[in-house]
Amino acid sequence: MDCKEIKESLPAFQDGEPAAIPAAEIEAHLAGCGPCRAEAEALQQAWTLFKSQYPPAELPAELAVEEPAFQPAARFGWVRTLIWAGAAAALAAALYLPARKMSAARAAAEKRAPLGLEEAAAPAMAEWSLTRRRAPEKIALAWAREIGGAPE
Amino acid sequence: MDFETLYRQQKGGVFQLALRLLRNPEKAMDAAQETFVKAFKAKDSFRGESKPSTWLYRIAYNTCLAYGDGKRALPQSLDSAELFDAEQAEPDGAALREELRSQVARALARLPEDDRRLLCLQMEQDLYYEDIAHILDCPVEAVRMRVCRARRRLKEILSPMLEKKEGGNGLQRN
Repeated sequence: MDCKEIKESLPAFQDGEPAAIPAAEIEAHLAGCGPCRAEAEALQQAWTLFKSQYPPAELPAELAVEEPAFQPAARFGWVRTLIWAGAAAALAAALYLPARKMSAARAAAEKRAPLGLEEAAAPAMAEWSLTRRRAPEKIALAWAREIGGAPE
Repeated sequence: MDFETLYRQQKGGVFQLALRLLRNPEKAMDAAQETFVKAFKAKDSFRGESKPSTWLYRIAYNTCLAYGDGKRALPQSLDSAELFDAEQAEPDGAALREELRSQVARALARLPEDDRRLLCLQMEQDLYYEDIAHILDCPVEAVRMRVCRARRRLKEILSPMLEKKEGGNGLQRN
């Protein structure tokens, strides 16, 4: 591998991150290449100098507190929890009961009125066909005319 | 995600990052607090696609970008001969270090701001390339290339100040 590839991999290698070239190969190359070794040292020194410009700063008092300022005080947390739980239960009941009534009413209505015109009309058509004694395919058309809607 | 634990563990790191990015303690304080407010409001949207700390640092980074980078005016061109005057003129160690520090600061003002921000992120010990990729919303390979480019530019800018050591193998890990 050439020195250009090695130099491009040096920052990742020095950061302990996976590089394009395996670390063992970089180490072996550096052991035998003066210019690449000098490059690695210069990169390391520049990085150290950069970091020296940002020494750790003391945490301001507002952030030094244990409890974040944007959260409400936890002194009576259990009371607040109870109140919220009760409110949530009341809201759920207020929404659930009417919905239950509604679905019960819907089920009753569906029992009285079966789905589909064919199902609704089947008993009437059966009785009507017996009295009229017509072929089944004509029964539907005649029946439709009788109840109104189909053209003559 | 246990937000209170996350807050206690990361509040220092978030503030340090904000201070490095903004270079102003008051702005850094405001940005750090705003970060935690945003994170608290959005905590239910965290889906575990990264570490909680990485998710938090992403919010912090974007918050600091919105605050502005506190960029100072570029210095006039530096004469490399001037850079070592302090060594002869001032024998006192502390004063020498301070002078060197201000020289480095002036040199670093020439570093592109994107590079500087990237290197500030790298200083967080918990953040690896994969985490930085998540924060910057780019592929890991792009982070690797950008870090390489930034560190080489850094080396070029600071080269007049770098010690020339004999020997060694440059294998020191960061």
